[in-house]
Amino acid sequence: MKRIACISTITQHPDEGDASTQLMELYNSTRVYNRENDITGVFLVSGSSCLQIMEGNAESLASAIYRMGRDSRLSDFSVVMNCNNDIAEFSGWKIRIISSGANAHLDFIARLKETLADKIQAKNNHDNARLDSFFGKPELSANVQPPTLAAPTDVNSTSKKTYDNCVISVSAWPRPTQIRMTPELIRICSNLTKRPAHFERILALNLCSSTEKLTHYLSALESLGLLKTHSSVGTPNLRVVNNPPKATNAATQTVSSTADRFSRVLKRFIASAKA
Amino acid sequence: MDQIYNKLAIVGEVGAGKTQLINTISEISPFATEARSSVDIGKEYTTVGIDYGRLSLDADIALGLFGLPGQKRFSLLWDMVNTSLWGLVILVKYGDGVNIDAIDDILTHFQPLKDNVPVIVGVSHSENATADELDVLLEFLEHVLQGHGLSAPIMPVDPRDIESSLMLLQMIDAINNTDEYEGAQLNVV
Ligand SMILES: Nc1nc2c(ncn2[C@@H]2O[C@H](COP(=O)(O)OP(=O)(O)OP(=O)(O)O)[C@@H](O)[C@H]2O)c(=O)[nH]1
Ligand SMILES: [Mg+2]
Repeated sequence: MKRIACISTITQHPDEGDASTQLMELYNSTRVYNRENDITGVFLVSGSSCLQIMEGNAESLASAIYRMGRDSRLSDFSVVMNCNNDIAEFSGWKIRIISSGANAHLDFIARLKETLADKIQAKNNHDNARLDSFFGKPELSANVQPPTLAAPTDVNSTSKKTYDNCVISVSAWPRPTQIRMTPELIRICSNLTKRPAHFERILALNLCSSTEKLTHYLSALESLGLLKTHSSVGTPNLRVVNNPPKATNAATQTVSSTADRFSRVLKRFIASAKA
Repeated sequence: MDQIYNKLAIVGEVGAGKTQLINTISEISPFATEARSSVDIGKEYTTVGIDYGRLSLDADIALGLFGLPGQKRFSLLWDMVNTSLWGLVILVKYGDGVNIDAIDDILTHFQPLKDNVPVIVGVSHSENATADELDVLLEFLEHVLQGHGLSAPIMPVDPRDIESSLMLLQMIDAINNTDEYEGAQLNVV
């Protein structure tokens, strides 16, 4: 089996819909072809650069490369890795769009870098610059997890990690294909995607039935690359747990009690409808 | 007269399941806006204009459900509904040709971030999709949301199913009830 990586630039055709739609079509055409030819791997996109890492038999890969080299939607096509491998690293053909701030992927990229990057060779400065947009960011190493690519999250694994002194935020909602959305997880994500909070503060909100559960969900989110932790050392004000007065004037108080009542009644309705 | 009346907007393309979702959730049938579709779009009925449903939660508490067509040329209808929303559901019909431009238009027009309105993207007609196939679409949608500075739940939904439909309400309720005050005002990068 062979593994090949190629880098290219996505050409924009302004008259054919917006960038996302064009990207989706491009990915879709590789998806169909690669499925028919048992090619697995990943289709990475960062800005206008596209890095495809493909595994499969030599002939299929050769014709995949040939097709792509002639695709008018891609330009500056360059093969940056070509090696033999015994074990498949990927199970399907997936797209990952690496955009700034998408923490979810930093972890994936870090693992990819660990496993494959030393085998990737840029032919020139232009390739180098494009590869940098995937692997070059210095902060990528901050999140490095043990280097294994096949790591579906085991949500039930017990984690001894504590977040006691951390200020935490969630960078994006997990996909239901990654983890089961429970009411507790929904509450955690709702609160922590809006703004970071100190662990003690989160505890005080009673989002979960126990501290263990909370820690468990947080570490599950962390292993998905969705949790940002900030040490609170040196920022003592973040430890404040007391609720400040919620509303200072009568008008805002009415608004919040109306919302509370609606929410209470709705929760009751949902619970009874599900029962 | 309702003491408390909240509004939920449900926007999505033809056949996405807006009418179905409203029917599933509300106790009364939508107004008689169902008309035989003049174009053959593979289904018998399409909604002309706004779908309306209502979920009465108590004698004086209700949630109004507004189904709105997803194309930008209906933005006049969007404006009629887009005032102090309780939540915005964008229904996307699973399939090969997801119209991402339309989702962009909706987000640009509704400006949920500005008014702090919770958004959920529900992917319908997805019960036969494999997890891998679904994942690819969810990834795309996440990318589109990020382009609007939004982080919102994106999930499969079956508007024919009560529990799945109520899950949307449960999510919006949770997002509406977050810890608004205090919190660390750290600037996360
Ligand atoms: N299999 C399946 N059918 C669905 C799903 N969601 C909706 N449907 C069905 O699809 C058909 C179209 O749904 P509607 O609710 O009429 O769609 P709509 O969004 O109101 O469409 P327009 O009014 O034409 O804009 C109905 O028969 C629904 O029961 C789903 O998730 N899976
Ligand atoms: Mg309809």
